[in-house]
Amino acid sequence: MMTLALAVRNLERNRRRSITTLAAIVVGAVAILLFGGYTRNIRYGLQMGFVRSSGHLQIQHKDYFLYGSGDPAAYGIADYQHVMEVVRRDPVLAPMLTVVTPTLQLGGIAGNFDAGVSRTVLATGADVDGQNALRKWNDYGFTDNPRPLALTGTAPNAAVVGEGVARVLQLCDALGVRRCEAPDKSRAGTVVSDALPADLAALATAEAATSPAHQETRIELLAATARGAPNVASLSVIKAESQAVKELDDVYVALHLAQAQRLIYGGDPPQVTAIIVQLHHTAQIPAARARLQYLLATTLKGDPLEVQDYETLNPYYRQTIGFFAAIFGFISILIGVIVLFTVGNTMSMAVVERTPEIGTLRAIGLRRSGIREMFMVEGMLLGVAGSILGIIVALILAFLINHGGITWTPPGRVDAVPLTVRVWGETLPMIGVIIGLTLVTVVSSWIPSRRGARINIVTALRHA
Amino acid sequence: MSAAVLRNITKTYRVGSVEIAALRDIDLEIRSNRFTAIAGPSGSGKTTLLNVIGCIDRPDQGELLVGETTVGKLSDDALSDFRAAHLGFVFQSFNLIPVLTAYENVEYPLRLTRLPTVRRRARVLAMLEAVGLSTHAQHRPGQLSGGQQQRVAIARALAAAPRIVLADEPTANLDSQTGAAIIELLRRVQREHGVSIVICSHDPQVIAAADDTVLIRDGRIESVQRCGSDATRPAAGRTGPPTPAPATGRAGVQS
Repeated sequence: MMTLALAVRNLERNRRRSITTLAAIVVGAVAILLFGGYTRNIRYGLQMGFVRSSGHLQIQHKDYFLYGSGDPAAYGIADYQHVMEVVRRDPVLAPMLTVVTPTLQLGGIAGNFDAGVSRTVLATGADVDGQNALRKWNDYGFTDNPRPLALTGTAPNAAVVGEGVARVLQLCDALGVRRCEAPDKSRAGTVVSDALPADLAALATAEAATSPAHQETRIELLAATARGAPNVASLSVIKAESQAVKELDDVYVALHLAQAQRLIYGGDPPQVTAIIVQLHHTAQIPAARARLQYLLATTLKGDPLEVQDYETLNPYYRQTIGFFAAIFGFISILIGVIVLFTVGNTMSMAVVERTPEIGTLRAIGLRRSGIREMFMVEGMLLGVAGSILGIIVALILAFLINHGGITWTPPGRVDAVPLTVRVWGETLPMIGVIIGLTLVTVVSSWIPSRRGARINIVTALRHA
Repeated sequence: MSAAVLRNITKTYRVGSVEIAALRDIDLEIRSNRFTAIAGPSGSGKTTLLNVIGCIDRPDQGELLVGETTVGKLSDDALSDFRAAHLGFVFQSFNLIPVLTAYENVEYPLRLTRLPTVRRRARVLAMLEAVGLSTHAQHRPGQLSGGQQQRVAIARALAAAPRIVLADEPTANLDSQTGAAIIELLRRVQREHGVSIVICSHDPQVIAAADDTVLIRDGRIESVQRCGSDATRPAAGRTGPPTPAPATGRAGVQS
């Protein structure tokens, strides 16, 4: 008690220096909390984007993730409706589930016959209702209003393409794509008749001829069926959507699941390449994965299936989180070092100034450990007070930033969103800041306090 | 029983490459319940001797007994505990802790001896009463005069009921009137509390008030005058005449 009282009063005694040191700790705490809140918001935003499009977990044919993209037909889930039913009805999984929906990924060549151009694409066959349900997930309280899938309520042959696809297929004018000036003719997309063998070109032409009506936004999607034969679907592009990442934007085509299945499997029983499983909370992934694996090993034993989580499916997520974590770590270390030296300097000055006091206390019987404790408690008080004040200031600044109308476009997103720093309600980072900065201040007080404790009593008393 | 006994105590300081002998072969007995003055000119080794008796400085050679304890064998922590329990200090510059009140300053050594709260409080109030500062208990040192601060320091020194109180020139920073009052106070509390006080000073008032006077010069005890004895006697345990001052010119640096 006396040590604590002494520490408080000694800090009050040199108020200006204590305030300066506190200010350094406060600035450090604010910087850590605001940048932490910013990166947290990015992480949540990215996670939300991936979970809304590809769920938390996906049930796939074994090895599809590594080898199946080149031959989706060979890695399809045959009895996917049964698998989905088993998953939905499982008493352990059911309380965790929000959406279970199938999807079919396929590669092909999209061509615009009217313009005489084509390009390779990566198409997704989507169950519109399921995809729209996926988009409602909002476990982190984002204020955005997710738009329904562009395919919602459209004809069975409707398709959505990436802006890059629209550009190459020269659908810009019809779809209202910006930044789409007429290309240099010498570098224009490959003419179908030149790019495709004559038989495939004839197939595409025949499919185009059977289309109900000529449309300005009609494209043909050529893909290999499950039996290895080429097949063509005539699609009506209703919209071009930016996919944020150019590589994806240049190959993206979305179409109705039934249309995609017809293209790949024709008259055979339809399959899918993945069953998307979305959970109420990301934290449920380990439990849900374990249960799914149990089901795959028991009830669904006959199917060679496996479970992948969204982080594995989207390496970009891990890379981005890792990138921000590295910056956050670097900033935190930098701030820690600054606080370390600031507090260390303050405590060193205190030891020098209070040398006669140290001599007196040692003479009247205080042990060396008592001297160390006295200065370290001062450092600890500075750390605790500075970090608590820092939290308060960070909360105020975060409120101002979050309500300041500042917008930005985070990685992986198309539209600008409000700049948000998540500080309020994030208890763990706050506790982390208090513990971290207090530890730093205690460590930085340790060397001066040790020096103070080792001063010879007679030498210390001579300073009086 | 003796309050303290010093046998063959030698202390040398090193300043750069020069060795300075502050104490040379000191033999001395500090009697219990006596007011002992250590007198001598500046640089004679008075303060060094006081520091050795006070266990805040270790001799290079020799043996020190405080009561029945040979303090040279104690570890630093044990020595700290020993000082807290058996020794009190009064300094020339008062050395009160500026952020603590008079009450808290007096209480501090009692906290070190872990005296229970109720007894601690009673003891602190009694000590402040003894030095006439019970009405100033909540004053901080900065709010007290020099004489009052020294009174608080005396109360602090006596608080843990030590065997010996060591006072290093306690009147040096006070005017003569206040100094005389402090000497009178020390003399009174020494009698009332049955404590040995060893005071280092060249103030004639202090020497006049002392029961025993140890005269030190150039790190050697020149004479010891005991109360009730007219004769100048050599230090305890010695035979023969007082040690003469060394002719080498080497002297202690402290006074």
